[in-house]
Amino acid sequence: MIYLDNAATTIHKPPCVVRAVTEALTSLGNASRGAHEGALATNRLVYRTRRKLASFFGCPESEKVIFTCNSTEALNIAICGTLHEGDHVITTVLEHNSVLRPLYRMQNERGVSLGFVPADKQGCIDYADFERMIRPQTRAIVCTHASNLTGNMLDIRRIGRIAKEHKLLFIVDASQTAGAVPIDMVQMGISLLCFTGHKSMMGPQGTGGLCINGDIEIEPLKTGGSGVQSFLTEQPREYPTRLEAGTLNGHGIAGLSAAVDFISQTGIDVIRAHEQELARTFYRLITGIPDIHIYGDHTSDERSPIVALNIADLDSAIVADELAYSYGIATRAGAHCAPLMHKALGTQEQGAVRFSFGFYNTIGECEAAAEALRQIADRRVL
Amino acid sequence: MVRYYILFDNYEQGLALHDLLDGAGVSNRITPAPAAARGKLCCGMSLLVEADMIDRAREVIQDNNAVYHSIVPMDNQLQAKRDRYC
Amino acid sequence: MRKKEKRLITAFYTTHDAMAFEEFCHEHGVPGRLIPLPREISAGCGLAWSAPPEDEEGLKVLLQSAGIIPQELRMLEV
Repeated sequence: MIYLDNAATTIHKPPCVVRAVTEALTSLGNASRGAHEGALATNRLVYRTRRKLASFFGCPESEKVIFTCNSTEALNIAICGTLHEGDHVITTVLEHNSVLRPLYRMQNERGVSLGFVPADKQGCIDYADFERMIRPQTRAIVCTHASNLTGNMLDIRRIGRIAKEHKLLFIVDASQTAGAVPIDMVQMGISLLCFTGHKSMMGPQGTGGLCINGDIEIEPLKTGGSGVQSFLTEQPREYPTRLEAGTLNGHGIAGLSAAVDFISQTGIDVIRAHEQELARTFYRLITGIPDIHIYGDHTSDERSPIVALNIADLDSAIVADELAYSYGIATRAGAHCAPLMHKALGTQEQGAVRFSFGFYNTIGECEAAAEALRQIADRRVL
Repeated sequence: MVRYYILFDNYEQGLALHDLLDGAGVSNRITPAPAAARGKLCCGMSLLVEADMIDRAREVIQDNNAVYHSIVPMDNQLQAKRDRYC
Repeated sequence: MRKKEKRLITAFYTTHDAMAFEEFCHEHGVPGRLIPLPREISAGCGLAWSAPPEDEEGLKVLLQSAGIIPQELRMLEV
């Protein structure tokens, strides 16, 4: 199989990640649930991984690296844990449902009002819209670092400056960029960073986190066992315990720790350069295909390694199915959990076929995928 | 050439029928539900059944009270003949 | 049953602080180890640092150097 669906999840993990999870499965106790060596070993692993992630993302305090099961959980904690009755939030049409649905929920349950920065047919926004939309009740800006459909990246540093100037919380969905693009929360002015472990971080599914920059009060999404202060009827208020009820995914965190090591040792710039070259090569090879329509702004280097397209009016699901069934090429078609982006691009009915490249893909695979598309386009029933 | 897409409300329904059809020897394939067929339906999974198997598939569904949303015929948008990598 | 001895016990607000202090002490060759929090003490974290009883002032300096505010320091027979 030629796997070009890395934006959904990476299936090729570094061998050290696989080893770390396997070793953890045979040795780890429950973190914060005992003082015997099994529990202490897990405590140490969890602590060191928090430190690594804090350094990796430029989060000033390691106790404010909160482990979650994915970006969706982190975004739910960030959004539902900080917004109050009557707040106003600015977001964009690039967002994934993991941002949109918690915001809609806040709209329904707490009367939060939402403003959406629009995008043009290239999927590009006008940064001035953020400032135009700010009102006295505006509490936060919530946005993605990169669209999971077009690959267009937002200038987070620029939005961070706007947020800082107006004293707004800045919540960033780094699902498509964590592990692929350098992120520094302090330099970029990010208040809350939400990331997942299983995409470009190349860690296990079931891992992710929320990094908190500064003194931000966040109400917990879930309450329960904490291993400490057992006689309190409420969740302890100290971070990270406040936002980590229940047993942590120690086995997954072991893998995530190894993944951070791998990216740091390989060099995130090396990974980024390779992935960008793959996407650029593929783009260059397919632009000549008759009736192909490629979405997103490919004139910019500030992109995640994604190419989304359609061939004439061919149903995107049929193209993706043909790629998989006849050519063994895995992509993703449909709505990509990004309904507003599809509306902005005009692809609600047709969907789009998304190719997303990862560290373990090769130029040869790009060439094969481009040729497969050429043949499919050629076989279109006219 | 017409092909048939069996659509579902959710993955569980789809996988259940996939197992049933496989068990009954009815050739079927899990495939993304075409946007044109799906409409407002949430589930992105469908089962693709060729024209020569659809009657048998309907029998299996009836005999087992299998749950599904609808069966949608669609013309194949691609010509069958393929010249793979040549 | 192990014979009880006098130890200087540091209790922490959080497990994160307990793990941070353990790592700091290992890096600096400071004697001691993590133990279950003795029932005489009530604290945020169920792990406590057990150190030799001789140098309480030295331990306070170490905690300050590690950037950790302990919940309590107490001499106990454990």
